[in-house]
Amino acid sequence: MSVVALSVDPVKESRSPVRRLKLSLDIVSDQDYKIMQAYKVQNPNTEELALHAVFIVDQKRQIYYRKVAGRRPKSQELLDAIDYQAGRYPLGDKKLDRVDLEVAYPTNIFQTIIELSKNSDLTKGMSGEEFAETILLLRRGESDETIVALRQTFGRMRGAYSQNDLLESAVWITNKALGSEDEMLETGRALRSILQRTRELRLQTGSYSDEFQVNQKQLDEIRTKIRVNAVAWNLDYAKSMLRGFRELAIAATQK
Amino acid sequence: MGLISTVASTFSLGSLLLSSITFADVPLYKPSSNSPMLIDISLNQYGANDVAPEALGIGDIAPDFALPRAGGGTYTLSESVEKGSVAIIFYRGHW
Repeated sequence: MSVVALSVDPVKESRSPVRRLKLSLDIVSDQDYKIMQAYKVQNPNTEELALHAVFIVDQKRQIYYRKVAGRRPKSQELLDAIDYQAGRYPLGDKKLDRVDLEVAYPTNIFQTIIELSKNSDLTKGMSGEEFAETILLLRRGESDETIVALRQTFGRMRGAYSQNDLLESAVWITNKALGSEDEMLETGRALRSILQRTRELRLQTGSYSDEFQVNQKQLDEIRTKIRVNAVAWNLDYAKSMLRGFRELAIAATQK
Repeated sequence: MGLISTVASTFSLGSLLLSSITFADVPLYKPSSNSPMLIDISLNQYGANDVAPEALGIGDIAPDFALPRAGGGTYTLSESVEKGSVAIIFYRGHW
């Protein structure tokens, strides 16, 4: 897999940013517009410029992914396209194996939802489609888009439900997810402390230093603890997000 | 509250989780941030845009090209694809 980026900039104008940004991909010059014309991605308003566009081609140069203008694709999207083309998608439950369990990063939040699903019903006030979409966003670790989806859901609910229903629903969701979970919150705090210690160790020791070897066992022990507690920590993360959800609901009812 | 109760009883979280795992056999993304739905990214409609209706699409053969590289020398697409997939990115330029 490789990346080539084209623009109409002359080569000499690209050299400086390539050096400054330490880019390792190929930056090439389509100064006479021939290639953007061949791919038919000329900007209709400024024909000497290309639209932002991405094509991914296989070894026969056959296009299997394209995105022209509009929202610029994120790297995960391109990786998914490549995985799909290579027959490595869907990942199903194996998806969980790909996420880094060492840190409580939003990519782990799918596990959190699974945990919540064992004891809670979070669908109150959400349609099946909305909920499924939110789950997909969570699976991809797109926490920002998840929050946008929740906001949109609440916007819709504000029109479809009475204010009392909306508030009651939000309180119900929040209580289901947040009630009597002091132990989980305590776990989250403990894990943060462990993560902080891990960072300190990494700062104190270089990857190739003797000290690092000495501390490797300690680091491994910490990593094990983090893996063991990752789901609980992420549950804490989800709760913080749901608190925001509740605040949105309350704010909506007050408008 | 009746409507909410109905929704809650109709869609159990567990079954939705299972269904979401099952139907996500293809990568699904929103083509734009305000799009109402997720679309299979391997479909032509996903990456199409009205501003460039004639743009090359899924299944087309990408024209080969040989262009000067900022790092020196010449970049040739047909040589690069011999090593594997290539992501071709057009950007606006004018740094």
